[in-house]
Amino acid sequence: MNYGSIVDLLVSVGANLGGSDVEGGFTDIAIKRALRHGDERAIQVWKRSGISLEEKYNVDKKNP
Amino acid sequence: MTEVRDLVGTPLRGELTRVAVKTHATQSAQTTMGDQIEKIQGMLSHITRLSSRTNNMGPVVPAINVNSVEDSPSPWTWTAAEAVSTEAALLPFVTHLAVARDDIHGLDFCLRTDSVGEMVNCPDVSGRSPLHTAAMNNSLKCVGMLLQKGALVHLRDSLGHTPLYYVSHLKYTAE
Repeated sequence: MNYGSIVDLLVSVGANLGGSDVEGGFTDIAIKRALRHGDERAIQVWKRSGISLEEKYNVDKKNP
Repeated sequence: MTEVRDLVGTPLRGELTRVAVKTHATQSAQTTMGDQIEKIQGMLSHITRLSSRTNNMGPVVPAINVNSVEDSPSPWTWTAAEAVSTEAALLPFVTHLAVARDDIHGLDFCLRTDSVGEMVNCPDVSGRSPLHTAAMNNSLKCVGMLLQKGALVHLRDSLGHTPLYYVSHLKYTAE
């Protein structure tokens, strides 16, 4: 699948996640689901898209 | 049978039909119309190719000749406004269709045909740009071409999402 390559390509030209993607909670829900299900490939894609997963993971561990 | 068709195609009040006078302006307009018809023929050919279920035609584009309707009993009367509006209606559709199929030949045709230069970011009915469509359909080649042609990565669709969000999210849901 090329999804990871497309993410890298978009990020390399300046794309980032923000606005309603993040503030609307959509990204957060998807990442939490990926973490809960242990979906490593999805987690890697979210990381490549610029989301600081380590920070979010810690927050989630402190406040589950 | 051919004679009957010719008789049926002959206007009954032909004597009232305005005779076309070929002036210099008319000839230049016909040249422009010819170019526009050629563009529309190309778009129809790409729609036919991209809409085929198997899409095994590859870069081979079937020939569609709009000019042949001039020989029909009821010729398609073109005006420049009609040709432009037809082109404007078809081109975004073909562009999104091409990127959804990751068809770089179709996308290249659309970008070359577009005289205004706004097709690279033209939204569909959902407000999604071609880059949204390409990202959502895993069309890596078309994403690259769109970015080379100046596609904007920060455009948001009617739901407020960027192409990056969709491709990241779809990775999660599609696999």
